[in-house]
Amino acid sequence: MLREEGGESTYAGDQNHIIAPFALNRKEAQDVLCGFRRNVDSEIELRDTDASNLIRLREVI
Amino acid sequence: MPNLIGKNGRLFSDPQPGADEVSFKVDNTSDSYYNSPYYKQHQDQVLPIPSPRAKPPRMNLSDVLDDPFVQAIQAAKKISFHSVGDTGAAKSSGPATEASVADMMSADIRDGGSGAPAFFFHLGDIVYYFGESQYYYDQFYEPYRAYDRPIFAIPGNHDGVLHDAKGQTLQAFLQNFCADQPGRSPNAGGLVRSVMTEPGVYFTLDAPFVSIIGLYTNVLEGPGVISSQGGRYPVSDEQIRFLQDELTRLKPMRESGQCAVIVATHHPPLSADAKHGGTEGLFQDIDKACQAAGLWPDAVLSGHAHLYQRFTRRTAGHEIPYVVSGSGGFSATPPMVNVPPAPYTQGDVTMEIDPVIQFGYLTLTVDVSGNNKLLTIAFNSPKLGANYDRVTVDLTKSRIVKSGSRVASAAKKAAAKSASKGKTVRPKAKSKTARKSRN
Repeated sequence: MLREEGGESTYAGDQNHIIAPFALNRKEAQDVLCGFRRNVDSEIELRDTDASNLIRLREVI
Repeated sequence: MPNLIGKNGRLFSDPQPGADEVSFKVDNTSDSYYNSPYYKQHQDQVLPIPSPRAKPPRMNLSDVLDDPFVQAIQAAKKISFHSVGDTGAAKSSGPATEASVADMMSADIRDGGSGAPAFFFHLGDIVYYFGESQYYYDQFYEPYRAYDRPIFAIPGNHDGVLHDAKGQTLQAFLQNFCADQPGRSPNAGGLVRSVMTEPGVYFTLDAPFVSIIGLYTNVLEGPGVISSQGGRYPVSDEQIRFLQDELTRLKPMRESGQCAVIVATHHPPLSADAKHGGTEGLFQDIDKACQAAGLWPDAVLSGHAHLYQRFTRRTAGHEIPYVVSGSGGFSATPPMVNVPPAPYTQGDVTMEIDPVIQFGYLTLTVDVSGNNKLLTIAFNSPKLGANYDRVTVDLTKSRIVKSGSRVASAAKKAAAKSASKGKTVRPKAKSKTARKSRN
């Protein structure tokens, strides 16, 4: 299950924190969300380059 | 057939192995330590890596098995071995699941004749939850009491993690797997198996036709860590230098077709497991070492995730199986809920089959007897049978020449049969029931 969170970016240079472009197509979003190289505690941040659009997704197990 | 006797009187199995135990000899209460203040305070910290006893840390199968045994493998131009991780059983349901895997592996040895696997390379998490010496009997020596072959191991996170400040990381692992000399283990409870004499917790095992570079991925539940990753983790970079040096050393032998090269880690670089995911930093560390050495492994084996997964990585002109088999008996875990059905490709990685949530183990075979030098990796399971899934790599071309699971091939046959009748059939592996079971 993925929890969607708004608010400020929490990026701290952590490898568990994945940043992806906000405007992902369906396949790209799927790839990010089920990344085989992703540690399960990862936080995924979808944002525009200027961070004007930002969604943080955290997988809740 | 009499039990094997290895170099320097090494013994590998009990002469009179009894029936499987149905309850633990020592009650396992170690999960209570998860609430210890020390563990809670330190659970996100990596621990120092014990220095190897020999540098470079390297050993040969012929250091352990007697000369006629090794010569027979060389004459056959073919070697098989077992591999799996996460065999420890700490829960009351554990002895049965762990024993089911260990018993099938032991039967492979007993019934396999001259082609039986030569050894078992364990992928870590031998003893849950904190690698305590008092649980080595129930979780290692007893289940493998009839396994009449040497057992090598890299530690998993549970073998190294500490629950209090009095402990020393990997203490029991070092005593049982990295001893100076072969001999009895104080933890074997009277069962016969000589302690192993690995040169360190990360090391290369050179065997006829195959070299396995085993790495120690430290104690975090995730991610796996083998280097400081540029200062992110307070551990030495010695292990990543070792990996690069070993790949460089093995390159001429690999290129002349003398051996396959396998990298083994406890934490998986790639995983679709819901609880034990992949590890970007580890993945990149291995890649950097391969690029610097100019040699890619023929396969990457991992445990940690308690199921079976098989990926193919296509990079630098190679097709490399990344196989996860943390399916040795401890607590099977499901895959992520949002993973599409296999085959599913992300970048240069393809998940080849839907993850298999069953206990089981790998049998790897390197066969250089024919014109084509082949590495085959098969997944065997007490519930699903032998060779449930397998992949074969042509070592000359570094290409996968054959692969497939029994489920996939059954689906393919059904589809072909149906097509001949002009009907359309949905492949069994992707049926509604199969998809539903994952959610």
